This record gives sequence, structure tokens and C-alpha cells, in this order.
Amino acid sequence: MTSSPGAHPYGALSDRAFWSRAFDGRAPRDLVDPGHGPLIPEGAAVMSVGSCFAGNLVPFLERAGLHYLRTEPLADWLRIAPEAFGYSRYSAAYGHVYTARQLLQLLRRACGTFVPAEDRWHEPDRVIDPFRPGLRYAARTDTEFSALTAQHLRLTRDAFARAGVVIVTLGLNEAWSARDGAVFPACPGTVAGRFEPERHRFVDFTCAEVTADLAAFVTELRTLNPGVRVILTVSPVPLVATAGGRHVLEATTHAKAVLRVAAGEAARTFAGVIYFPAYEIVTGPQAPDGFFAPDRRSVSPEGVRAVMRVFLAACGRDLPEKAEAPPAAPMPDAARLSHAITQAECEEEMAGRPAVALPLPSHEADPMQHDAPDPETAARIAALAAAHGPLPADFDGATYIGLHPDLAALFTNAWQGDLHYLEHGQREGRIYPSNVTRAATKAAQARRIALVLDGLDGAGKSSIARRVAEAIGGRVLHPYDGNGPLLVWLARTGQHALADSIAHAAVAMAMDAVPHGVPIVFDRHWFTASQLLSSLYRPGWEPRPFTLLCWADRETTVARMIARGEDRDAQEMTQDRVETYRRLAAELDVPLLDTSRTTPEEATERVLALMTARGILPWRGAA
Amino acid sequence: MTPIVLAGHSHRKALGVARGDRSQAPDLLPLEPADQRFLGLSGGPKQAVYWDRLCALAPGRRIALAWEGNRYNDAFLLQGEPAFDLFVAELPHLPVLPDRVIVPERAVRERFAETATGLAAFLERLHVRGPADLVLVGAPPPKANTARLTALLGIGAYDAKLAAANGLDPDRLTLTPASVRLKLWQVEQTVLRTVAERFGSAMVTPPQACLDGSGCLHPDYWAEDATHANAAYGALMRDRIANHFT
Repeated sequence: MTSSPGAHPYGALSDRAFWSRAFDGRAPRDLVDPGHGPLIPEGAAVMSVGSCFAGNLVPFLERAGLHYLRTEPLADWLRIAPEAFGYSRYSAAYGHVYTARQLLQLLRRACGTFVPAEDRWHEPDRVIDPFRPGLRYAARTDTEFSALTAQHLRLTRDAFARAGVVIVTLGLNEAWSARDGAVFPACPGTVAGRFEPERHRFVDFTCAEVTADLAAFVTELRTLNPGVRVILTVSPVPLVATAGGRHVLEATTHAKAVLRVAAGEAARTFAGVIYFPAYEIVTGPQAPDGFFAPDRRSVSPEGVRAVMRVFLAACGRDLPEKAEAPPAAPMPDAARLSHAITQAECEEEMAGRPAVALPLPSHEADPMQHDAPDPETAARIAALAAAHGPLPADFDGATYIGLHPDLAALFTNAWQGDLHYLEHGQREGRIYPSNVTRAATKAAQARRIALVLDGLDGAGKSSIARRVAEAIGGRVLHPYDGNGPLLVWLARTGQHALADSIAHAAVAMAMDAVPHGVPIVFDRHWFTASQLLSSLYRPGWEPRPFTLLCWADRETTVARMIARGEDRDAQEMTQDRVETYRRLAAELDVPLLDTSRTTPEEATERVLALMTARGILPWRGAA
Repeated sequence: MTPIVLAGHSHRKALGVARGDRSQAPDLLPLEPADQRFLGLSGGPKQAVYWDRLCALAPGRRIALAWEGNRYNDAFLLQGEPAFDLFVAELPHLPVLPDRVIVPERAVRERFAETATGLAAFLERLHVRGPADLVLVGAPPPKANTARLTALLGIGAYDAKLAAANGLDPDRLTLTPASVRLKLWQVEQTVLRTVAERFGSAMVTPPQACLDGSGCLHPDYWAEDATHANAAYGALMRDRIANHFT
């Protein structure tokens, strides 16, 4: 039987098969085959693993109401700074997994079927996990390392076993491995460890190898978790560097082609394995220019949102609006009562009397009595406040008394401090210690700060800060101008507490000159202090304002310094110094703004886009 | 030789530092009971004037400073969720309890960053004033006997009343096991000792005679509360402090 003249297989195809009909403007229509049904079945627990792009998906999944599985929450209850390098982003703390081989080995390590020979690196004060080299809270001893690693792998196995859907984002086909073939996420010596040519070798996985690794991964995963669905994606982010001898652009297209073909093969071979075209959405010819940041490597927030819009639509869900940051978790019950008991005991111990009264469960509990004044005195205080203005909002009668020995010798009640200040103290110009805590001050400051730019001299931050401030009607502040050398000298001579206090004071003093409501752009702020001073002082800068680290490669940095006539300083700008800033930014989770090959205008646009994506713009700062 | 000055936070009381008259400025007073080798700085350590006074007294004096040391109780006296344990490099013999989340020791250290920062800031101020010598007084280790400790909490009227004041069910709150508190104490002490050593000061640790077989505070040296030591402990500590300065 033959078909009628003019009939052919293309005639019955839907619009999605034809380039001319497959798009709404620049947005692909029906990109995901509707025959799959919802990509994430209702109620399925989702695990994601892969390159950094896999981490970008997680907040969208959670805000859309999907159940993102977390088996290893990384001691959040300790109320400490979170882990670096995104270890806390994923279902368990495996961090970024770039290659199919690393993915397969992660599953095998979790299941106990692969034990790498080179499983730890020793440094003077820590034991490094080669497969999680950037962990902030690294083990101190081998015993601790073994226990923490065993726990991590057990919880990773739990995640693989309990997930209804595993989303895998393939990032690279190049890697560095140990002698036994164990693949590291980063070349030894870059994030941690030491590169040893006789032990560490470069591998450039072929398409056949990646395909085989993916097939083995799916097969072994289903031995553990038979019903699991696997969604494969390819990261659109180009290689940061290649060690294979090719130009990085060529290496990137090769890598993405290898990964794309291997993912397609796996999806064709295994039922329940679906390829999701994130790579195509961002890099296809239809994609707007703005899907990449000006560095043409980072995917812009707009690009990520475009991917997630398609992904969530294929799950039957809408792209969620940007949510406000969740409020800080309340202190757990046990911690609240532990605190109350300890505070009470310390007060009683100092008071030297039996513990019968019920003390206030507060950090600020003090030995000063708080008996109310008699009605006549209360009326007097109210009258003084009405006549001369109320007590300052940050005034506390007890600490005011404590500061002045003559008053401390006379008064025992906080209200006596209130009365004295209104009657005499204000007129006498007596000072009082503000009862606003450092944390409260920092929180209030953060509400007024639109942006902090930090970085080495020559990184381009001043030009960008000026342009951003102009664009948003803000004011640029340079808090350390004039006292920078003093801070450096104090840091070098070990006077870190004093330097820390001066740094905070410099920020506060600079902000005092700006009317409330005007957005503030800082050219240097907490990051500068943090790279000078002991890490002990970092918590004092929380909550941090939105911060970007301007960074340029050494050649660019030096060229800019020479152009400014800073030849001598330029000579001291070593590669190490440039890299230290980059490493510290990663350690402190500060996004990097690479200005090496961009104009200030381009960089400014990028910054404004980031601020908009984060909800900082349009400006709604404290008025 | 002028007497050694004992000063600092609440653990100073076991050493014999008198509370003093809080209506007066902090001042040096004889210990209670008297010990000619020492004077204690009375006054409230929550007031800035207390620390200003210590700085003013510092030039040429020998100072023994009791700095906090109860942060581990403040955060972890009662067991929270999830129940956790840790390995501590200085206590390698202590095992980890079964079925507990293991947290990195380094993460727990981070939890004590605030007390370390406060100590560093104060030592820097103090050293500028030129004390003859300065030693950090280690805090007493935790108390192990759970039954007695629970009873003490009740005697002190803290447990049920404070729980009620905080809207909590006291029956659902249990003490953190002693072995875990011992490790947490050790981490806090290590952090404080490290800060002191950066300023060239040693830490005087609790005497072995005050410890039970597990390294916790022997019941003979308990004050009548959950976290402090008594005067007998203080007497032994004073000997160790005095020995340090000779």
C-alpha cells in the first residue's frame, strides 16, 4: 500500500517538529514531550546532583512546592555560618558532581562498592576530603574524618534510596583522577591538597565512556531504588578552563556535545530516564543574549528562570514569584531553656544568694534592680520627657548608671538612671552606652545598604560602584579611605580587636552622613576587614549586605594599576594575591564579578540585573 | 609582692571573689574566705565599668582572669533535636554515642567564636595597660551525675518554672549526656586557651583531684547548681594559680 500523492511523514507532525512553528517569539513551545506526563510525579521526593547548575534549580523547586529531599542538613541547628561551596545546597553534602564517572563513583562509594585509595589529604591542622575539598568545617583527626565521611556517605545513600526523582546535571567530561581511577571534583592543588604529577592524571572521557558510566549509574541506582525516575540535563555553563590542550571554547563545545549525546543515549535506552533540554534553552540560537552574563560564561538569573519556567510547566506548576528570604528559625526549645538556666545560674552565682526568684531568660539580664518608681516619681519622669523630649531609643538606665561611677555609687534602680538623665545628664552632656547590640546595628545598616563591592585595587570596583549609584540615585561610600594603612598596620601588629572596632566605626560614621532612604553603595566594607583580620571577627559583620567581589585576572589588574600610575603597587600584585581573593570569595560564599574582559558599563548592567533579580531593586530600603 | 588579682565572670565566685556592694564602683576586696595571696575584683561583669576598672588596675599587677566558660551549657545543657555527638582531638579516648548525628568539631568551635572574640578584644585592651603577668582561669568541667544534676535543677527552681515561663514542657526536656557536655566543654576551653596563648598567656586548668574517673567534675566539688563549682574547688584552683605565678 502506498500513500496518496503529496502525503509524507512530516505532514502529520505537530508544530514542535518544525523550526518555523515551534516558538512563541523566542520561547520554545512544547519543548518537553507531553507524553511523559508531569516530570515530577505528585508527591515525589526530588534529589538533585551535578554541576553548579544543578544547585541553581533547588530554590525554584522548593518555592514551587515540590518536595526537595534533604538527608544531611549540616548542623544547621548549631546556628553557625553555613558550609561553603554549596555543600548545603544539595540533598546530601556531596557538593558539585561534574562528571558521569564522579556521579557513578559517588553512588558506589555510598553503597560501599568502591573505596578510593587516596581518600584523604593531610594538612597541618586538618584532614581534607579530596571529594569535598572545600568543606569549611573539615575534620581535625583521622578518626573524626573517617566517622564524618562514613556518616556523609550513609546519608547520601539514604538520599539515593528514598528519592522518587533524581535530577542529574552533567557538567564536564574532563577531570583529574587518582591512580585507582577515583575522580576528583577539582584538580588537586586548586581548592585544597597538592598536585602530584606521578599520582594525579588528567582524563578526557569519551562519549562511549560517559554513556557507559550513565548506564551503569542508572542500573546500579535502580538496584537500590527500583522505581526511581532519572531526569538528565546538561549544564549550559562553559568550562572554566581546560587542561586538554585545546582552546577552551573548542573544549567546551566538545564537552557539551559528548554529554548531550550520552544523555540522549541513556534516555533512549532506559525507561523512566528523561532528557530535559536545559542546555538548549540557554544556548540555542533562539535564546536571548541576556541568558548569559557579560562574562559569557555565567548563566544570568533570567536564563535560569527561563529554564525553570519550562521545567516547572512540565511539572504542571507555575514559576514562583521571588520569595522573601525565610525568617530565621526560632531558637530550639532545648537551647532556649539551656540559655535561661545558665543565665539564671550565672546571675545567682554572682548574687551569692539562693536561687528562688525567677530570672529573666535574657542575654541582657543584669544585676540592676528594676523596681518601678513610685507614682509621684513616675509622673515626674513623664513630665520631664514631655518637656524636654523622651529618652533616646537606645538609652538604658542601668548601663548609664554603670558607666558613671558617681551614679553607680548612688543608684541601684534603672529608673533612677532614666530620671537622672532627664533631669541632669542630658544637660551635662553625659554620655550613655547605646543598648543597641552589634547584631542589631548590623541588621539596621544592612537595610540601608543596596550593594557592597569589594576586591583588590584595580579590580574595577570604584568605577562600577559610581555607575551603580548613579543608576539608582544612591551614594557611594569609601569607609576605609584615609584609615586603610592604619587597619593594615593594626592587623600586622596583631591588634585585631582594635582594627575590627575601627572598621565597624568607619562604616557607621560613613553611613551617618547619608540621609535615610538613600540607597548606599559601599566601595569596600566587611570583606576588606575579613581578609585583613582573624576569622574570629567575621561573625560580627552578620547579617551581611548584598556583596559582590570584583575580580580581574592579574594581567588586567596590573594593567589598570599601571594606567593609574600605581606602578610600584602593581609590581606587588602577585598571582597568589589575586588568587587569594578569589579563594576567599568562594570560602565566604560571595559571588564573583569577573571584570577581566568587560567594560565598566557592561559590568554595571550585570550588577543592576543581579540586584533586580535579588529584589533589591527597585529600591525599597529603610526610609 | 602585691596580691594576685582574681577577676572575671561567674566562675570567679568559687575562687572566693566577693560580690561586693553593687551600689559602689567595682573595687579590689579580700577574698571570702580570706587568702592573703589574692584580692578579688568585685562588681558586676555585665557592666562595662567592671572591665574598665580591671584595665585601670592592671599596670604592674598579676591577674587571673575567669572568662565565661559556660557557653557550652548556655547552648547545650539540655538535649536538642537532633541528638548529636562529636569527636574531639584533645579527648581521643571518648567514644561517640550510638544513633547520634556526628557534627564536625570545627563547626562546634565556630559556635564559640563569640566568646573567643570577646576574650580577644578584652585581652588586647588589658595588655596595653601593662600587667605584670596574666593567666586565664579554666572553667570547671561539667557535672556527670544526671540524677543529682536533675535534682539540683529542681532545687534551684529553674527547671519547671523556667520551662513554663518559656512555654515549654519540662517533661520533654532532658539533659545532654555528660560525655557530650564534656567534649563541648573541652572545645570551648580549647578555643579560649588558644586565644589566651595568642596573647602570651597560659590557661590554668582544673586540678586532677577535682575530676571523677570520666574527667567530669567530682561531686565533692559541685556548687548547688547545675554549672558551677564550689569553694573547695576554688581553694585548689587558687593553689594552682599561685603556683603558676611563682
